[in-house]
Amino acid sequence: MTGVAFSLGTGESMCFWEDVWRGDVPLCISFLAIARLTLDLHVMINRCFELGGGSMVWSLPFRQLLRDCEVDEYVALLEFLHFCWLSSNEKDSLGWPMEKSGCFSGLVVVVLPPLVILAWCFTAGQVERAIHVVSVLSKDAYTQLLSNIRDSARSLLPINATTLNLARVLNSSLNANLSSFPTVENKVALYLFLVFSTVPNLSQVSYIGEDGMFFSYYIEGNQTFALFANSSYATTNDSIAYRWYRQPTNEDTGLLFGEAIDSTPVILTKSSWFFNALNNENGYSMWGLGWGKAQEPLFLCMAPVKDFRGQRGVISLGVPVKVLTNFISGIDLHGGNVYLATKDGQLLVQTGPTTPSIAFDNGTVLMQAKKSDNGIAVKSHFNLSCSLDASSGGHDSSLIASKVNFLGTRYEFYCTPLEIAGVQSISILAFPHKEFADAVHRQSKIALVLLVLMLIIVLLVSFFFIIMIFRAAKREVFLSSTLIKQMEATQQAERKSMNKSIAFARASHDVRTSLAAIIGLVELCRMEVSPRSEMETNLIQMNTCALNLLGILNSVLDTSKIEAGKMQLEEGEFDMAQVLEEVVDIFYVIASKKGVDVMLDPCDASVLKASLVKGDCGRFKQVLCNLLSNAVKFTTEGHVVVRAWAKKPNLENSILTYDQGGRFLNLWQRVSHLIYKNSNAYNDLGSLHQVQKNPNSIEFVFEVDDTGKGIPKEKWNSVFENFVQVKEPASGVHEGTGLGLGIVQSLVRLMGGEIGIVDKERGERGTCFKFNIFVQACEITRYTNAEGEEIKLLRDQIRSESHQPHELSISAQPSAINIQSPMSVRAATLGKSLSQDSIHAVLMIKGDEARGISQKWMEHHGIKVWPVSRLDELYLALEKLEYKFASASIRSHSSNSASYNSSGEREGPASAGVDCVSSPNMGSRDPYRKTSLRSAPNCILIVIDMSSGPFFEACSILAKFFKNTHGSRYKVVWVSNPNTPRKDLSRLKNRQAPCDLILQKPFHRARIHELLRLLQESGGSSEDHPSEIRTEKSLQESPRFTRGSPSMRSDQRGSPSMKPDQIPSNSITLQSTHPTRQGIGAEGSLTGDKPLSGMNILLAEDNVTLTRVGVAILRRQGATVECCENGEEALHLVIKALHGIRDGLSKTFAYDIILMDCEMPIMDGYEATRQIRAEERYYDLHIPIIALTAHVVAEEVNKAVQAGMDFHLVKPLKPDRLLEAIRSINRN
Amino acid sequence: MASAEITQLRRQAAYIKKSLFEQGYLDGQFLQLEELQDDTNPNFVEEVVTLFFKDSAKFIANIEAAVEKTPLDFKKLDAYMHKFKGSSSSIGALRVKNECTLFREYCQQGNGEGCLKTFQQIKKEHATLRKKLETYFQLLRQAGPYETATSSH
Repeated sequence: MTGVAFSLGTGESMCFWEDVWRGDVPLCISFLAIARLTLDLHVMINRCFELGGGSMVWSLPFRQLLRDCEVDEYVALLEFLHFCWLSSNEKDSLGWPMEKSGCFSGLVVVVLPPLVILAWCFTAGQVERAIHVVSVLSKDAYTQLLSNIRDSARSLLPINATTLNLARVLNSSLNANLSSFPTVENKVALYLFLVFSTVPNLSQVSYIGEDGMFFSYYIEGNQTFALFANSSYATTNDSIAYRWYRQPTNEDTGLLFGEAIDSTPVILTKSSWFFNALNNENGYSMWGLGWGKAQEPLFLCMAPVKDFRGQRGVISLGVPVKVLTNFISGIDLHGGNVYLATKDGQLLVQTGPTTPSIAFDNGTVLMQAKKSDNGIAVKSHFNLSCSLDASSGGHDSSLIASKVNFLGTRYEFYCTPLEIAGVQSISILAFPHKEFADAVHRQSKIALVLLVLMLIIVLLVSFFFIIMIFRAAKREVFLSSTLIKQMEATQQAERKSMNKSIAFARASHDVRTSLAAIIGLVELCRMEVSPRSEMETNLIQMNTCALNLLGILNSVLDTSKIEAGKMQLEEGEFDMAQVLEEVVDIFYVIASKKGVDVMLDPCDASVLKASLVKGDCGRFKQVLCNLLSNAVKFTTEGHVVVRAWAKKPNLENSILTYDQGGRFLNLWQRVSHLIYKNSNAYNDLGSLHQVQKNPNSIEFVFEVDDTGKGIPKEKWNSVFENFVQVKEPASGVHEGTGLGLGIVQSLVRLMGGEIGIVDKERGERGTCFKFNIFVQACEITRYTNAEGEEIKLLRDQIRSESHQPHELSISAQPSAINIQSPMSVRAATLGKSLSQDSIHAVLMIKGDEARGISQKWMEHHGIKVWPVSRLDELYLALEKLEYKFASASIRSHSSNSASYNSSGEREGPASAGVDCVSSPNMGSRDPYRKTSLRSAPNCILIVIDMSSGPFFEACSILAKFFKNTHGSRYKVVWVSNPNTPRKDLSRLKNRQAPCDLILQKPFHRARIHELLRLLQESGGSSEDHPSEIRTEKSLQESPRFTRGSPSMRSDQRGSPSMKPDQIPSNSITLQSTHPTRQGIGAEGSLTGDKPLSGMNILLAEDNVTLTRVGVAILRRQGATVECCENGEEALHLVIKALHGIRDGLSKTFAYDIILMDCEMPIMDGYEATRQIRAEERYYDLHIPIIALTAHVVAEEVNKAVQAGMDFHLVKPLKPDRLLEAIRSINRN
Repeated sequence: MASAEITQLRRQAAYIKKSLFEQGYLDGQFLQLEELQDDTNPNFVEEVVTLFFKDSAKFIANIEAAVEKTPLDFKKLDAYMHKFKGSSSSIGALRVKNECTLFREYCQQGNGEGCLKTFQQIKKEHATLRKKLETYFQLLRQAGPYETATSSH
């Protein structure tokens, strides 16, 4: 056995050995496992030895064993152990506190049984001895019993002497002649009666003469009788004459009385016993029967008598056997039986139930008995040796027990000779063989067997248990060692993973830096190369690639961030509808290249109503973009529809009722399970609940529905897993990391919602992703006043049909800004209010879906729509409309509207292409009734999709139509898309076709506003050039076209004719007529050389370097910059400037914008801002303050907002960001 | 100066700049600075950079003093470093900035040892950058104003 022992610092010793029970777990593992758990090795172990075969040598195998454990730490241990060994070469003096418990218990198990058996043997011996003693004692009892019997027999003995005495008395006193009856009667009988009445127990006294003379007294019942023969043989000589008589006798006197009854004589003199008695002077005893009718058995004692004449006779005294029997039965026999028998086999006394016949022959007794047991005769007999040696009679030594099975019962027989009243007899004692000793023997045997059995069982069981325990221990050791290994592995893996993520983060940072550098360098190169060269295209592509790369990197980073649970939403206000439109615009361009239509379905327009919300705009965009890009990517034909609607969450239940399929039933559990893997889960969850419970929160539901190839249903769940892409073998090309939807899901859940794939109706192609998010609603009361005013203004404008110069309105509201400005929000309500005025539109858009959605948009804004599906139906539809409105205008004051209704109903179904009746489905409002009640519509829009058919055909239809009608009421709006042939567009621009407006697809709110604006400018504007409305994106995609730009520029810069209500709102609040500022406000998006020119900017920044850079940037943008070093200075400057206004020194406030560093000495930016805000209140001013911080964290942003700053910029200052900020401030 | 020589110098300067970017000493902010440089501000970048180094010397001295105190006042160190980080990011000194970020992380963890180590690293990076940028500007000065060169181009 090999092992290792340690003496520990605590003074204890410890040893570990390798043994069979530990199985294949290496020693060192279990040792180290214990050691690591319990000890600091270097402190605790003082000495160690190897315990191997008695030698104290540090043997190779042990070291090998340690080395096999292959963990580095063990090497250190090994060295340490080695060192210990080398340093202490003394003898092992260790105690072995650890007993080999297994061995010990084994020993116990082995040794115990013999011990128990020995103990049992000892006890059994003792019991044996006790039994012996008991049996000896019982023998004594038997002897006592026998002697009792013998005594009782002896009590009958005097009868012999009495007989002899009587005989002697008779011999001597009897002078009479015994042969004469009277003598006998008078003399002998007298003696006889005397004896008969005096001697106890006598039942019979007789005189028997040799000559036949006979006289006897006997008792029969209670009566004494005399029996006599009054004659002798001699006198009669005739046997018939010889008679016996029986006569009752007085018990007291012995006199006979009564009648003598003749009785049959018995010739006694000839019997052998008579002769024996006659010749035996000393008396003769025998067993005989009494004279009475009962013939009672008697012991008879006889003695001879002789008269003077020599006449002989015998006197006989009889004692009944019953006396003895009574006597014996009075003795306690201890459950045994007594049999008394004469030598010749006559049974005298018997107490047992059976009546055996006993024969005696020369010291052997033969006992026979029959028993009828249930009709079966059981016969048994046996021999019993019985010494009749009189000398030995009555002594214990002769008492020999014989155990005999007699009549089915075991008996113990004791036989002893006995003389009863001179009769030689034997007495037999029979005791049923008591189970006492035997039972003890038998029971002890059984007990032994049981004991042995029990021990065997105990042995087996204990072996079994020991095996079990060892197995369990083995397993446990094995498991713990495995566990330790696993734990090590886990730790290692965790460490690795941590290192990996750190390295990952570093690397990704580096990659990002490099990418940024690449992008920058590409930009630099692009500036240098000549435009439109191949090089430039390449560079643009490089740029795109680099951007893509950056996107992928970002998504990977997002994933790791989400995994780490570090993703946080950056809350900020944004316009939901606007974001939707932007995203849809972007993807429309991409999709249109593939011929796929991207549409924004307003649904119930609830998004527009509550579009200003607070949430993480960027993340939301990311989600939407990802879904859209997927949809576009996988859709080769058809369309992609984005549906969005808002609903007020009714607190808890909103989510549950969201999907009736119950998929989100266990939403919270699932959310908590899936996203939040870290310990912060519950906190986050709590905040999530808060978002939902917040009464201010709004739930937005979005659907991205495409007609692509779709996702197989079984993969619906797995698409949201990271790195999973639904592979389509046929498509071959895969791009992306497979992280997109995973991130999307996590983001959506982070925003409190859930994403899933919705079942499409049978037969429909494609996939429909549905997700919901929860955001905070923003207060929109801010706008209401301004809106109301504007609406009024606009409505007045339209009602009065004022013919304003077109240029002015255009210049007042440059298109590009307006599309993205909150003006559109106001316009949304404006559109709604316009719905009272009837605006009609003939809508001809390609594709049912697209047309439906466009119609929805227009109807939502109060325009009644007449959809036309094909170009050839257009003319028909127009004509009908014209006819209707013409007649309506004629009969506009007619109260009878019924006819129009009926005509409308009649004509509706009749016209094939125009879906007149059902189209303007504005609830109960009937367009015909309206038109009939009111005047004819101001304006009829003809909206034509340029891709719906050959352009010239549409033009010719229009031309034909306008030739016939008075066309001023009609506005022609062309809907283009990026694929529209350029020559068609140019034809429109060149007025080769009727055109009032060119709209870019996709149709959404911004486009509607363009339409409304067109209506606003209605009237004379039809003669004008068409205005072109584009998103920024479309500006890039299509050739630059600016109508009358030089003149516009000049107008914008300080045009005095600008209408006051069209001046951007911030200018109003600033009460400023500063010409340049209007330019900025109006024209902020234009990327001129010096977009900030004319602006006065105060820069508060303590860091000189930053100040220098900031100033340079601002000056480069054309602004005038004033610097100060801390918040206090800034405050002073502001106050000074404010005083300037108050004192009338200047009309306007000196600074247009303040850029405020947040952390400055003396007074920080927050404090300065607060004070400035407090100060400016007196002047009814709002000075825009932009915070500059180096922090990106949301809380810092919040802090800035709380302090009253308008915008937050991250240092270092970037010109484009700054411009954006200024723009957004101006917009507000 | 011969135009070839100028070109050579310019190429060298460009190479240095490129390597500075490649090695991560500088980031896009530096390019932004260069963009700001124009006829009105012919030596803008150099000026700013010089300002930065002058400024940062002060910071480093401050931090040095703060670092030697025991126990370390992490809050103060963090504030100093925040400023320093701000100015280094404003000229695009990426490496210095990264080290500053690390330093601040250590500050937040309260890891004094890490702070000291990082601070040494910062000083090293700072010195390296200074040397490199000095060389770079030297070359630029020798090559003459870039704008004129491009315009002549």
